[in-house]
Amino acid sequence: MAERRDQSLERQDFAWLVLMSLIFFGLVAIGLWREYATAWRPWQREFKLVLAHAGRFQDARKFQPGIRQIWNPELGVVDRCVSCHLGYEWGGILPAALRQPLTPHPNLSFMNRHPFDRFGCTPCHAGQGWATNAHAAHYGGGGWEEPMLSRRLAAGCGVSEAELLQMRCNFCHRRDRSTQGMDAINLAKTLIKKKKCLICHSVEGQGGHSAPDLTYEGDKDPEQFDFSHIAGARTVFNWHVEHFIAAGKVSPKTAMPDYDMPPDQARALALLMLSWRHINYPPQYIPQPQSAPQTAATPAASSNH
Amino acid sequence: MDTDRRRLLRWLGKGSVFAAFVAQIGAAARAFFPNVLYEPPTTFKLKQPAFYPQGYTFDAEHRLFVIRAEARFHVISAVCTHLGCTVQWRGTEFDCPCHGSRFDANGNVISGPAPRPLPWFEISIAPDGLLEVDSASAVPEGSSLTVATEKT
Repeated sequence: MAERRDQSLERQDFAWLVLMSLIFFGLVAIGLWREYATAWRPWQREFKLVLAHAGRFQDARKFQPGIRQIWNPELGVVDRCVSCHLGYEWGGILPAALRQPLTPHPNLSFMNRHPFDRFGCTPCHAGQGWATNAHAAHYGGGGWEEPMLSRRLAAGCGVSEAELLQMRCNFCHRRDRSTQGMDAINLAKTLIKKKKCLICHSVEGQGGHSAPDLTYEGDKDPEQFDFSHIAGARTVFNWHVEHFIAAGKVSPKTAMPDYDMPPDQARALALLMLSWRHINYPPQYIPQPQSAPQTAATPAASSNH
Repeated sequence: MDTDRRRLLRWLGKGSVFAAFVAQIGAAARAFFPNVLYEPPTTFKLKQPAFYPQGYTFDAEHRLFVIRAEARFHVISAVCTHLGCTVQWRGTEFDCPCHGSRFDANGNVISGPAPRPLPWFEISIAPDGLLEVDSASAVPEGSSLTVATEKT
Protein backbone atom coordinates (compact mmCIF):
# COMPACT_ATOMS: atom_id res chain seq x y z
CA MET A 1 0.00 0.00 0.00
CA ALA A 2 2.78 2.39 1.04
CA GLU A 3 4.71 1.49 -2.05
CA ARG A 4 1.84 2.52 -4.27
CA ARG A 5 1.53 5.93 -2.57
CA ASP A 6 5.25 6.49 -3.14
CA GLN A 7 4.80 5.69 -6.80
CA SER A 8 1.95 8.15 -7.23
CA LEU A 9 3.96 10.85 -5.44
CA GLU A 10 6.83 10.15 -7.75
CA ARG A 11 4.57 10.53 -10.76
CA GLN A 12 3.24 13.80 -9.36
CA ASP A 13 6.77 15.15 -8.84
CA PHE A 14 7.69 14.14 -12.33
CA ALA A 15 4.72 16.06 -13.75
CA TRP A 16 5.81 19.14 -11.81
CA LEU A 17 9.35 18.77 -13.08
CA VAL A 18 8.10 18.60 -16.65
CA LEU A 19 5.93 21.67 -16.13
CA MET A 20 8.70 23.73 -14.51
CA SER A 21 11.21 22.70 -17.15
CA LEU A 22 8.82 23.75 -19.91
CA ILE A 23 8.23 27.10 -18.20
CA PHE A 24 11.99 27.61 -17.77
CA PHE A 25 12.57 26.64 -21.39
CA GLY A 26 9.94 29.18 -22.43
CA LEU A 27 11.69 31.88 -20.40
CA VAL A 28 15.02 31.04 -22.00
CA ALA A 29 13.39 31.31 -25.43
CA ILE A 30 12.00 34.75 -24.49
CA GLY A 31 15.45 35.77 -23.24
CA LEU A 32 17.07 34.71 -26.50
CA TRP A 33 14.42 36.56 -28.50
CA ARG A 34 14.92 39.74 -26.47
CA GLU A 35 18.67 39.44 -26.98
CA TYR A 36 18.14 39.30 -30.72
CA ALA A 37 15.14 41.60 -31.28
CA THR A 38 16.88 44.85 -30.32
CA ALA A 39 15.84 48.32 -31.43
CA TRP A 40 19.09 48.97 -33.26
CA ARG A 41 19.28 45.79 -35.34
CA PRO A 42 16.78 46.81 -38.08
CA TRP A 43 18.56 50.17 -38.50
CA GLN A 44 21.92 48.47 -38.85
CA ARG A 45 20.46 46.15 -41.47
CA GLU A 46 19.11 49.16 -43.34
CA PHE A 47 22.38 51.06 -43.04
CA LYS A 48 24.23 48.19 -44.65
CA LEU A 49 21.86 48.45 -47.61
CA VAL A 50 22.31 52.25 -47.70
CA LEU A 51 26.09 51.80 -47.86
CA ALA A 52 25.80 49.30 -50.68
CA HIS A 53 23.35 51.60 -52.45
CA ALA A 54 25.89 54.45 -52.25
CA GLY A 55 28.49 52.22 -53.90
CA ARG A 56 30.50 51.59 -50.71
CA PHE A 57 30.47 47.82 -51.14
CA GLN A 58 33.63 47.19 -49.14
CA ASP A 59 32.31 49.21 -46.18
CA ALA A 60 28.98 47.39 -46.41
CA ARG A 61 30.78 44.05 -46.37
CA LYS A 62 32.92 45.10 -43.41
CA PHE A 63 29.92 46.33 -41.41
CA GLN A 64 29.41 44.11 -38.37
CA PRO A 65 26.12 44.28 -36.45
CA GLY A 66 26.36 45.09 -32.77
CA ILE A 67 26.12 47.86 -30.20
CA ARG A 68 28.44 50.73 -31.08
CA GLN A 69 29.60 53.36 -28.65
CA ILE A 70 31.82 56.38 -28.25
CA TRP A 71 33.65 56.01 -24.96
CA ASN A 72 35.54 58.81 -23.25
CA PRO A 73 36.04 58.50 -19.49
CA GLU A 74 37.43 62.07 -19.33
CA LEU A 75 33.97 63.46 -20.07
CA GLY A 76 32.03 60.51 -18.65
CA VAL A 77 30.82 59.74 -22.16
CA VAL A 78 29.41 56.30 -23.00
CA ASP A 79 27.37 57.23 -26.05
CA ARG A 80 25.63 54.35 -27.73
CA CYS A 81 23.60 56.79 -29.84
CA VAL A 82 25.75 55.69 -32.79
CA SER A 83 24.25 52.19 -32.65
CA CYS A 84 21.26 53.66 -34.53
CA HIS A 85 22.60 57.06 -35.71
CA LEU A 86 24.95 55.17 -37.98
CA GLY A 87 25.49 57.78 -40.69
CA TYR A 88 26.81 60.42 -38.30
CA GLU A 89 30.31 60.64 -39.77
CA TRP A 90 29.33 59.88 -43.36
CA GLY A 91 28.53 63.48 -44.35
CA GLY A 92 29.62 64.17 -47.94
CA ILE A 93 29.34 60.52 -48.92
CA LEU A 94 25.81 59.60 -47.90
CA PRO A 95 22.99 61.99 -48.86
CA ALA A 96 22.07 64.57 -46.19
CA ALA A 97 18.41 63.82 -46.92
CA LEU A 98 18.77 60.28 -45.54
CA ARG A 99 16.06 59.69 -42.98
CA GLN A 100 16.73 59.66 -39.26
CA PRO A 101 18.35 57.96 -37.44
CA LEU A 102 20.75 57.29 -40.34
CA THR A 103 21.16 60.96 -41.32
CA PRO A 104 24.76 62.21 -41.44
CA HIS A 105 25.62 64.84 -38.83
CA PRO A 106 25.57 68.32 -40.41
CA ASN A 107 29.12 69.41 -41.18
CA LEU A 108 29.14 72.52 -39.01
CA SER A 109 32.12 74.85 -39.04
CA PHE A 110 33.23 73.88 -35.52
CA MET A 111 32.96 70.11 -35.98
CA ASN A 112 36.66 69.63 -36.81
CA ARG A 113 37.52 71.16 -33.43
CA HIS A 114 35.00 68.90 -31.66
CA PRO A 115 35.72 65.46 -33.17
CA PHE A 116 33.12 62.78 -32.53
CA ASP A 117 35.55 60.25 -31.08
CA ARG A 118 36.64 62.74 -28.42
CA PHE A 119 33.41 64.57 -27.59
CA GLY A 120 30.74 61.96 -28.32
CA CYS A 121 27.12 63.05 -28.58
CA THR A 122 25.67 63.79 -25.15
CA PRO A 123 28.04 66.64 -24.10
CA CYS A 124 26.25 68.78 -26.72
CA HIS A 125 22.89 67.09 -27.24
CA ALA A 126 22.30 65.71 -23.71
CA GLY A 127 20.12 62.60 -23.33
CA GLN A 128 21.00 59.23 -21.92
CA GLY A 129 23.99 57.92 -23.84
CA TRP A 130 23.98 54.48 -22.21
CA ALA A 131 20.53 53.63 -23.50
CA THR A 132 20.13 51.26 -26.41
CA ASN A 133 16.61 52.19 -27.45
CA ALA A 134 15.32 55.50 -28.74
CA HIS A 135 12.80 56.26 -26.00
CA ALA A 136 15.21 55.71 -23.11
CA ALA A 137 17.98 57.58 -24.94
CA HIS A 138 15.88 60.61 -25.88
CA TYR A 139 13.48 60.96 -22.98
CA GLY A 140 14.89 58.73 -20.25
CA GLY A 141 11.59 58.45 -18.43
CA GLY A 142 9.71 60.84 -16.17
CA GLY A 143 11.76 63.25 -14.09
CA TRP A 144 14.91 62.56 -16.08
CA GLU A 145 17.23 65.50 -15.43
CA GLU A 146 19.04 65.57 -18.75
CA PRO A 147 16.50 65.05 -21.51
CA MET A 148 17.84 65.25 -25.03
CA LEU A 149 17.72 68.82 -26.35
CA SER A 150 15.25 68.00 -29.10
CA ARG A 151 13.46 70.24 -31.55
CA ARG A 152 10.27 69.62 -29.60
CA LEU A 153 11.82 70.67 -26.30
CA ALA A 154 13.22 73.78 -28.00
CA ALA A 155 9.83 74.66 -29.49
CA GLY A 156 8.32 74.39 -26.00
CA CYS A 157 10.86 76.97 -24.81
CA GLY A 158 10.26 79.27 -27.78
CA VAL A 159 13.79 78.90 -29.14
CA SER A 160 15.31 76.96 -32.02
CA GLU A 161 17.10 73.65 -31.46
CA ALA A 162 20.44 75.28 -32.31
CA GLU A 163 19.83 78.02 -29.73
CA LEU A 164 18.95 75.48 -27.07
CA LEU A 165 22.17 73.57 -27.81
CA GLN A 166 24.19 76.75 -27.24
CA MET A 167 23.30 76.42 -23.58
CA ARG A 168 25.49 73.31 -23.43
CA CYS A 169 28.24 74.86 -25.60
CA ASN A 170 28.54 77.45 -22.85
CA PHE A 171 29.38 74.78 -20.25
CA CYS A 172 32.93 74.95 -21.60
CA HIS A 173 32.78 78.34 -23.37
CA ARG A 174 31.43 80.28 -20.40
CA ARG A 175 34.54 82.45 -20.09
CA ASP A 176 34.59 83.37 -23.80
CA ARG A 177 33.55 86.96 -24.42
CA SER A 178 31.79 85.86 -27.53
CA THR A 179 31.94 82.59 -29.39
CA GLN A 180 31.38 82.05 -33.09
CA GLY A 181 28.04 80.34 -33.72
CA MET A 182 26.67 81.04 -30.23
CA ASP A 183 24.56 84.06 -31.07
CA ALA A 184 21.94 83.65 -28.35
CA ILE A 185 24.54 83.21 -25.61
CA ASN A 186 26.64 86.05 -27.04
CA LEU A 187 23.57 88.31 -26.91
CA ALA A 188 22.97 87.29 -23.29
CA LYS A 189 26.60 87.98 -22.37
CA THR A 190 26.38 91.52 -23.80
CA LEU A 191 23.08 92.05 -21.96
CA ILE A 192 24.69 91.05 -18.65
CA LYS A 193 27.16 93.89 -19.18
CA LYS A 194 24.63 96.35 -20.60
CA LYS A 195 22.09 95.85 -17.81
CA LYS A 196 24.90 95.95 -15.21
CA CYS A 197 23.70 92.76 -13.50
CA LEU A 198 26.93 92.48 -11.53
CA ILE A 199 26.17 95.63 -9.52
CA CYS A 200 23.87 93.47 -7.37
CA HIS A 201 24.59 89.85 -8.40
CA SER A 202 27.93 88.11 -8.15
CA VAL A 203 29.32 85.56 -10.60
CA GLU A 204 32.53 83.63 -9.93
CA GLY A 205 33.49 85.97 -7.09
CA GLN A 206 32.92 89.18 -9.01
CA GLY A 207 30.07 91.64 -8.53
CA GLY A 208 27.81 92.81 -5.74
CA HIS A 209 26.44 90.90 -2.80
CA SER A 210 22.95 92.37 -2.45
CA ALA A 211 21.41 89.74 -4.76
CA PRO A 212 21.85 85.96 -5.11
CA ASP A 213 25.11 84.55 -6.45
CA LEU A 214 24.55 83.30 -10.00
CA THR A 215 27.76 81.28 -10.50
CA TYR A 216 25.96 77.92 -10.50
CA GLU A 217 22.43 79.17 -11.22
CA GLY A 218 21.92 76.36 -13.76
CA ASP A 219 22.34 73.70 -11.05
CA LYS A 220 19.24 74.79 -9.15
CA ASP A 221 16.44 72.24 -9.07
CA PRO A 222 12.84 73.11 -9.97
CA GLU A 223 12.00 72.68 -6.23
CA GLN A 224 14.06 75.80 -5.52
CA PHE A 225 11.80 78.04 -7.61
CA ASP A 226 8.43 79.54 -6.70
CA PHE A 227 6.13 78.92 -9.64
CA SER A 228 2.99 80.38 -8.03
CA HIS A 229 3.16 83.62 -10.07
CA ILE A 230 4.21 82.01 -13.36
CA ALA A 231 1.63 82.47 -16.12
CA GLY A 232 3.06 80.08 -18.73
CA ALA A 233 4.76 76.68 -18.52
CA ARG A 234 6.06 75.79 -15.06
CA THR A 235 9.60 75.08 -16.16
CA VAL A 236 12.83 76.55 -14.81
CA PHE A 237 13.51 77.97 -18.27
CA ASN A 238 10.17 79.77 -18.37
CA TRP A 239 10.58 80.95 -14.78
CA HIS A 240 13.76 82.75 -15.85
CA VAL A 241 12.10 84.18 -18.98
CA GLU A 242 9.14 85.63 -17.06
CA HIS A 243 11.42 86.77 -14.25
CA PHE A 244 13.65 88.71 -16.66
CA ILE A 245 10.62 90.42 -18.19
CA ALA A 246 8.80 91.24 -14.94
CA ALA A 247 10.76 90.25 -11.85
CA GLY A 248 8.31 92.03 -9.55
CA LYS A 249 5.41 89.92 -10.77
CA VAL A 250 7.23 86.58 -10.43
CA SER A 251 8.85 87.35 -7.05
CA PRO A 252 6.71 90.09 -5.44
CA LYS A 253 9.27 90.88 -2.71
CA THR A 254 12.26 91.19 -5.04
CA ALA A 255 14.42 94.29 -5.36
CA MET A 256 15.16 93.43 -9.01
CA PRO A 257 13.60 95.95 -11.41
CA ASP A 258 11.17 94.92 -14.17
CA TYR A 259 13.37 95.03 -17.25
CA ASP A 260 10.41 94.63 -19.60
CA MET A 261 12.81 93.30 -22.24
CA PRO A 262 11.82 91.72 -25.57
CA PRO A 263 11.10 87.96 -25.15
CA ASP A 264 14.06 86.91 -27.34
CA GLN A 265 16.44 88.75 -25.01
CA ALA A 266 14.79 87.19 -21.95
CA ARG A 267 15.09 83.73 -23.55
CA ALA A 268 18.76 84.30 -24.38
CA LEU A 269 19.42 85.29 -20.76
CA ALA A 270 17.48 82.25 -19.53
CA LEU A 271 19.73 80.02 -21.68
CA LEU A 272 22.77 81.70 -20.16
CA MET A 273 21.43 81.15 -16.63
CA LEU A 274 20.86 77.43 -17.30
CA SER A 275 24.35 77.12 -18.78
CA TRP A 276 26.04 78.31 -15.59
CA ARG A 277 26.57 74.93 -14.02
CA HIS A 278 29.25 73.20 -12.07
CA ILE A 279 30.93 70.91 -14.58
CA ASN A 280 34.02 68.82 -14.01
CA TYR A 281 35.46 68.45 -17.46
CA PRO A 282 39.27 68.24 -17.57
CA PRO A 283 41.02 71.57 -18.29
CA GLN A 284 42.12 70.61 -21.80
CA TYR A 285 38.46 70.72 -22.84
CA ILE A 286 37.96 74.25 -21.57
CA PRO A 287 38.99 76.90 -24.10
CA GLN A 288 41.51 79.48 -22.96
CA PRO A 289 39.76 82.70 -22.03
CA GLN A 290 40.09 85.26 -24.79
CA SER A 291 42.48 87.85 -23.51
CA ALA A 292 42.63 90.27 -26.42
CA PRO A 293 43.50 93.45 -24.49
CA GLN A 294 46.05 91.63 -22.35
CA THR A 295 47.97 90.12 -25.28
CA ALA A 296 48.05 93.57 -26.88
CA ALA A 297 49.49 95.00 -23.66
CA THR A 298 52.10 92.26 -23.08
CA PRO A 299 54.68 93.32 -25.72
CA ALA A 300 54.51 96.91 -24.49
CA ALA A 301 54.99 95.75 -20.89
CA SER A 302 57.98 93.55 -21.80
CA SER A 303 59.61 96.38 -23.78
CA ASN A 304 59.76 98.45 -20.59
CA HIS A 305 62.25 96.03 -19.09
CA MET B 1 -2.51 4.16 -25.18
CA ASP B 2 -1.63 4.79 -21.56
CA THR B 3 1.95 3.54 -22.00
CA ASP B 4 2.32 5.61 -25.16
CA ARG B 5 1.26 8.72 -23.34
CA ARG B 6 3.53 7.91 -20.45
CA ARG B 7 6.46 7.43 -22.80
CA LEU B 8 5.73 10.75 -24.53
CA LEU B 9 5.51 12.51 -21.17
CA ARG B 10 8.74 10.99 -19.99
CA TRP B 11 10.44 11.93 -23.24
CA LEU B 12 9.05 15.45 -23.00
CA GLY B 13 10.11 15.72 -19.38
CA LYS B 14 13.65 14.49 -19.90
CA GLY B 15 13.95 16.46 -23.13
CA SER B 16 12.92 19.74 -21.52
CA VAL B 17 15.17 19.15 -18.52
CA PHE B 18 18.04 18.56 -20.91
CA ALA B 19 17.14 21.57 -23.08
CA ALA B 20 16.82 23.82 -20.05
CA PHE B 21 20.20 22.59 -18.83
CA VAL B 22 21.82 23.32 -22.19
CA ALA B 23 20.19 26.75 -22.32
CA GLN B 24 21.45 27.51 -18.83
CA ILE B 25 25.01 26.62 -19.83
CA GLY B 26 24.60 28.64 -23.01
CA ALA B 27 23.43 31.69 -21.04
CA ALA B 28 26.34 31.36 -18.63
CA ALA B 29 28.80 31.05 -21.52
CA ARG B 30 27.27 34.10 -23.22
CA ALA B 31 28.19 36.20 -20.19
CA PHE B 32 31.83 35.84 -21.16
CA PHE B 33 31.17 37.74 -24.41
CA PRO B 34 29.71 41.14 -23.48
CA ASN B 35 28.16 43.29 -26.20
CA VAL B 36 30.30 46.28 -25.32
CA LEU B 37 33.04 47.07 -22.81
CA TYR B 38 34.11 50.23 -21.05
CA GLU B 39 37.47 50.38 -22.77
CA PRO B 40 39.09 52.21 -25.65
CA PRO B 41 37.91 50.95 -29.03
CA THR B 42 40.34 48.74 -30.92
CA THR B 43 39.53 50.69 -34.08
CA PHE B 44 40.62 54.31 -33.88
CA LYS B 45 41.45 57.21 -36.13
CA LEU B 46 44.80 58.83 -36.77
CA LYS B 47 45.32 61.99 -38.83
CA GLN B 48 44.85 62.81 -42.51
CA PRO B 49 47.24 60.79 -44.71
CA ALA B 50 48.75 64.10 -45.91
CA PHE B 51 49.84 64.85 -42.32
CA TYR B 52 52.44 62.07 -42.36
CA PRO B 53 55.85 62.78 -43.90
CA GLN B 54 57.81 60.12 -45.77
CA GLY B 55 59.36 57.55 -43.45
CA TYR B 56 58.55 56.63 -39.87
CA THR B 57 56.21 58.76 -37.72
CA PHE B 58 55.61 57.84 -34.08
CA ASP B 59 52.09 58.23 -32.65
CA ALA B 60 52.53 58.53 -28.88
CA GLU B 61 48.82 58.39 -28.08
CA HIS B 62 48.26 55.00 -29.70
CA ARG B 63 51.87 53.73 -29.43
CA LEU B 64 52.45 52.86 -33.04
CA PHE B 65 54.48 53.93 -36.06
CA VAL B 66 52.89 55.16 -39.26
CA ILE B 67 55.26 54.37 -42.08
CA ARG B 68 54.88 56.09 -45.38
CA ALA B 69 56.64 55.29 -48.64
CA GLU B 70 55.34 57.59 -51.41
CA ALA B 71 51.57 57.01 -51.33
CA ARG B 72 51.78 53.65 -49.53
CA PHE B 73 51.10 53.45 -45.82
CA HIS B 74 51.48 50.79 -43.19
CA VAL B 75 51.30 50.78 -39.42
CA ILE B 76 53.59 48.84 -37.05
CA SER B 77 52.93 48.53 -33.33
CA ALA B 78 55.42 50.27 -31.04
CA VAL B 79 54.69 47.92 -28.14
CA CYS B 80 57.58 45.52 -27.54
CA THR B 81 56.41 41.91 -27.70
CA HIS B 82 58.56 41.09 -24.68
CA LEU B 83 57.13 43.10 -21.78
CA GLY B 84 55.28 45.93 -23.46
CA CYS B 85 57.73 48.85 -23.38
CA THR B 86 57.54 51.40 -26.19
CA VAL B 87 60.20 50.75 -28.81
CA GLN B 88 62.12 53.59 -30.45
CA TRP B 89 62.96 54.09 -34.10
CA ARG B 90 66.73 54.44 -34.58
CA GLY B 91 66.79 55.18 -38.32
CA THR B 92 67.39 51.59 -39.40
CA GLU B 93 65.87 49.50 -36.60
CA PHE B 94 63.54 49.58 -33.61
CA ASP B 95 65.23 49.39 -30.19
CA CYS B 96 63.49 48.58 -26.95
CA PRO B 97 64.94 50.65 -24.07
CA CYS B 98 63.91 48.17 -21.36
CA HIS B 99 65.63 44.90 -22.17
CA GLY B 100 67.47 45.67 -25.38
CA SER B 101 65.31 43.86 -27.91
CA ARG B 102 66.09 44.94 -31.47
CA PHE B 103 63.75 44.74 -34.43
CA ASP B 104 64.50 45.44 -38.09
CA ALA B 105 62.64 48.03 -40.19
CA ASN B 106 59.79 45.56 -40.77
CA GLY B 107 59.48 44.70 -37.09
CA ASN B 108 61.24 41.30 -37.22
CA VAL B 109 63.31 40.39 -34.18
CA ILE B 110 67.06 40.85 -34.72
CA SER B 111 68.13 40.08 -31.17
CA GLY B 112 67.07 40.31 -27.55
CA PRO B 113 64.39 38.68 -25.47
CA ALA B 114 61.39 39.64 -27.65
CA PRO B 115 59.65 36.40 -28.70
CA ARG B 116 57.69 37.70 -31.68
CA PRO B 117 57.99 40.38 -34.37
CA LEU B 118 56.14 43.69 -33.92
CA PRO B 119 52.66 43.24 -35.42
CA TRP B 120 51.41 45.17 -38.47
CA PHE B 121 47.91 46.56 -38.05
CA GLU B 122 45.17 46.77 -40.64
CA ILE B 123 44.59 50.33 -41.85
CA SER B 124 41.90 51.93 -43.94
CA ILE B 125 40.53 55.36 -44.77
CA ALA B 126 37.58 56.41 -42.59
CA PRO B 127 34.56 58.11 -44.19
CA ASP B 128 35.88 61.50 -43.06
CA GLY B 129 39.22 60.91 -44.82
CA LEU B 130 41.33 60.12 -41.75
CA LEU B 131 43.57 57.06 -41.48
CA GLU B 132 41.83 54.39 -39.42
CA VAL B 133 43.69 51.62 -37.60
CA ASP B 134 42.23 48.34 -36.41
CA SER B 135 44.64 47.23 -33.69
CA ALA B 136 42.64 44.03 -33.14
CA SER B 137 43.46 42.66 -36.56
CA ALA B 138 47.07 42.10 -37.50
CA VAL B 139 47.96 41.91 -41.17
CA PRO B 140 50.89 40.00 -42.68
CA GLU B 141 54.20 41.84 -43.06
CA GLY B 142 54.40 43.74 -46.31
CA SER B 143 50.71 44.68 -46.50
CA SER B 144 50.13 48.34 -47.22
CA LEU B 145 47.41 50.79 -48.09
CA THR B 146 47.85 52.97 -51.15
CA VAL B 147 46.18 56.35 -50.87
CA ALA B 148 45.55 57.29 -54.47
CA THR B 149 43.97 60.72 -54.35
CA GLU B 150 46.70 62.11 -52.17
CA LYS B 151 48.44 65.44 -52.77
CA THR B 152 51.54 66.39 -50.83
